[in-house]
Amino acid sequence: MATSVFALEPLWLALLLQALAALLLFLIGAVVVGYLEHKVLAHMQDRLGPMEAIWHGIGQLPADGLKFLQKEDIIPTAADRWVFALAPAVAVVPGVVVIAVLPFGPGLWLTDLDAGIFFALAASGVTVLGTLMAGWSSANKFSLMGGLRGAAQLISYELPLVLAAAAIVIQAGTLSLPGIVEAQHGFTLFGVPMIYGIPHIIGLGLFFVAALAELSRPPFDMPIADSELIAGHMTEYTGMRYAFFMLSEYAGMVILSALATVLFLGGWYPWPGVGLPEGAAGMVLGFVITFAKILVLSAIMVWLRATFPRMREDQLQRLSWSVLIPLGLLNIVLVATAKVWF
Amino acid sequence: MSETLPHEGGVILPGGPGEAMSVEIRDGGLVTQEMNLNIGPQHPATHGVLRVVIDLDGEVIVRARPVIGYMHRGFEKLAEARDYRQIIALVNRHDWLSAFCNELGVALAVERLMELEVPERAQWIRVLMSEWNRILNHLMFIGSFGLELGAITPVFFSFREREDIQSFLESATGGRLHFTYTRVGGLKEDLPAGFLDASRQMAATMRSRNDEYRQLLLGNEIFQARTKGVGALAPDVAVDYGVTGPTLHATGVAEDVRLSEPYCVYDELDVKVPVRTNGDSYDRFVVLLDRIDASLDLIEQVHEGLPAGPVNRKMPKTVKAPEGATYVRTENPLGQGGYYLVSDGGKTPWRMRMRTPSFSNIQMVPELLEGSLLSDMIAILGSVYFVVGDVDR
Amino acid sequence: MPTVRSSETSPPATRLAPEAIAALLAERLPEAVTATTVAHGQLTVDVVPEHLPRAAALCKREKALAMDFFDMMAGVDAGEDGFHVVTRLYSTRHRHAVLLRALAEGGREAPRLPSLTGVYRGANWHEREAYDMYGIVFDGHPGLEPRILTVENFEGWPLRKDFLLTTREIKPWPGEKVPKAKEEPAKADAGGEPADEGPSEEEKAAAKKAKAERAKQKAAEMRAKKRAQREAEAGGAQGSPGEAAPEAGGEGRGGGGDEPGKGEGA
Repeated sequence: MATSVFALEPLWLALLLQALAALLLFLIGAVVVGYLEHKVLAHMQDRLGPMEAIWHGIGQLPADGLKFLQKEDIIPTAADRWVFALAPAVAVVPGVVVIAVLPFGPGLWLTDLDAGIFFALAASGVTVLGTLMAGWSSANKFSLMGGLRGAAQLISYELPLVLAAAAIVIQAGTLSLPGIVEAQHGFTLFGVPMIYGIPHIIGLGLFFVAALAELSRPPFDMPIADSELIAGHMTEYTGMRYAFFMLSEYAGMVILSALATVLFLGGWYPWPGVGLPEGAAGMVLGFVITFAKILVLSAIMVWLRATFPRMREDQLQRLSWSVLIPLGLLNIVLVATAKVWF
Repeated sequence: MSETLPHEGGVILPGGPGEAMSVEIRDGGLVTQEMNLNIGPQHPATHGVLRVVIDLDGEVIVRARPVIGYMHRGFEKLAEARDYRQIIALVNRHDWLSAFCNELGVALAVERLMELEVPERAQWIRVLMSEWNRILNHLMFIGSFGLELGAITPVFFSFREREDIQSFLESATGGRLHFTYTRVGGLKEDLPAGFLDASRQMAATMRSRNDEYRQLLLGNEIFQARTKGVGALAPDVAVDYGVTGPTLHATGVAEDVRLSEPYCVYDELDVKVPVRTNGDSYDRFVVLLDRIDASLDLIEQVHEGLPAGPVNRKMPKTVKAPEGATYVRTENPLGQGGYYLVSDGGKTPWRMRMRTPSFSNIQMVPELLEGSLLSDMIAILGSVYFVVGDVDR
Repeated sequence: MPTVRSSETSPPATRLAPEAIAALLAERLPEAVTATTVAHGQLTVDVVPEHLPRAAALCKREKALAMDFFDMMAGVDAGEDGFHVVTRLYSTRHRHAVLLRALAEGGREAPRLPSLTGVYRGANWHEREAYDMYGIVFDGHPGLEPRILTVENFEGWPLRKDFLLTTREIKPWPGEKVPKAKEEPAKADAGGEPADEGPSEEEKAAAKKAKAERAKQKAAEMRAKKRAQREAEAGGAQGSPGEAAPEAGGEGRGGGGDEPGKGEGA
């Protein structure tokens, strides 16, 4: 099995490069997906989207970033200063950290933890705290409602996420993410090489729906609920702090799409059984393939945003607890049985 | 927040860093406080400056009280200082989405007091413009209802239609929103060349687009879950409050001025009024879509039956309504709009009471809100169609 | 989707003519009804104020009337007599209506009427508006304050005739004047006379003239001041600026014609 490209000799160099790469991937992923959202949403709504910035609006998100940077930093007087200031960080940092275990191509990962998927899911769960902190400390009733709704929703939807991933882990036999990709590479169903996504179609559906809810994306954006709570827990935030929340949302789309790619769609291999050329060409191709799959999944998330109204809080919860979690458990039972018998 | 609650027979647990936040358990449950929340006057979900003060128990609305008057501009007082031509430009502004229908009401009131005969062609064109105005209004609410529920796409499509309709209405009246086209005794001037062709074309397009709107939202499970059974209004409650328009028709009461007291040429046309039975938000929304179809039918009838002739008549230099009082009602898109005109024989009204549909509709809203969830409030407010200018005048 | 068509709904046979409604009311509540008027096909019933709720209840509950729909309530300023309150009730079943008019007791100083909220829930806000606009107090109303349309601390009752619109105090209503021989060719202009393009020409001219006058005066005063200053500097002019000014002022006013372009063209 390949080793990470970052396994370089001077440890400090390796760590520095890894940190830089994580940040860059985070930012670039967020910017690309943000642009994707602007354009896809616009075309679905019979309009063009950003057209002015540089060329057809590709400079829109960097321009937005610069705009946010130069805004005044306002903290409401009644707000709890420290919690208020730390909440965006708590939302962003776990996202960056999870990138450390995501594989983007052969050898293109920052580190290969033996408990990769476990770490990824655990770290991404920390963002709930960011939502709660923001909602509580804002000293604003609307933010409070948004924060509470968000916390309830995010906790409920962790379970389907984990259950779907657990089924894959059982199937692949390893918790390490590159390991899962390799296992998937050799997977055949009745002799036909197959990505996990097809026999695990239920799991893929569960994972995707739970991912949408984790990110508070429509149709699960009750915590934000633009027309009710203005911006939910983010209402009182301005400038760079608000930008952090938005970045964490878009980067979260990238991260969860990347996880879905690895778990269900075959990772960096075009198809199980189809190998990649050796060396640098293989790395580039693998990266491109992974990113393409990530973009497809993100585009589907945007498509859902354009199409669906948002679900009510109690309907959300009911969906998770009465439908998704039993499905997830059933999925695990089926997978375990099949794995033992076949 | 740090008041200690009385505790007869309960247990108080100290807790919380810093503040003395006490958690009280009584009768096996946590004692909670109700939260008082102000929705509005600046809020994306209320169409304009409507403020609703609600008391929340968790997510359930316990008490709701609308506070209006943020947009009160004193139209009735202003109307007493305007003559009957200036008033036309005044009254199309309180409900700006149904501008023509409001102008029409005032003109009808004066014409009734003066016992004027309005030329045939003018009456037919008045019907045509009223029905296009109705379609404009309903398109707006179709878009905005979806927007409030989170479906952000239909609003773009409905506004595209509105732009197309407004452009040919502008060719006739000079205005996209405030038409000021009616005059006492007829209309300002005749329709321009090409107007009827544009109107026919748009009517045909609008039929197919209406099907699009049905497909966009009606079959969506989330939309249905958010609106079916939400804010169900009983017909006798609605009638007691004086609710009119799509809100009333959704409850099953087919009270429509065009049927009960036809004005202009509605008595010669085949007017269809769609009604539904449940009175919930879903029905109110479907009624809008059906009403667009019904208006298109009326427009096509006008296209076929439009007579030739003058559109206004020679009026005296000063229009004076003789002494007397009368109440004229019209079927505005949002409901029944009425004008109680009291004249003392002069050039300006002595009293012009504007009965606006949104005022009565909003009065009824607490009946629907109390007992529902906060998210349902959005679905309810979005489906009880109102314009705040109409509520406050 | 059920649709009601106009072809299917003719006026119901149970619809009563205005005279019939008037007769019914007068017969059932003789002490309440003081007068009935039918004008333009509409019935207005004048009711004794204290019996207004009874009359409304009768309209609502009497089978032949069945006026379940509360349409509107309007206050009307009746001059010295006080204020009328006109309530329109309508029957959705029979499609007839009545306007109940009551003169509020207490004249203009303290108008009062019994409230109809016990009979119709919809009367609530309409009565609050009548209170807000005219100051009519409705006995038995659950809560007339806070004022519904105006600001909470608003003073006065806006729709009363003695409450003047401030703009109309400063400048009289321009529509009052009918322009003189401005006979516009009879365009197909169906409403009113073309008199009202804002302030009339004479008014504009008068305003301009007044402005020009003031400007001239001011200019003259400035000139006088400057002249006096110069003279004082040029050495020992006895005339103080104050003395020179009136003459210069008179001069300025008199010789106003040579000033270039200061508001000329009046």
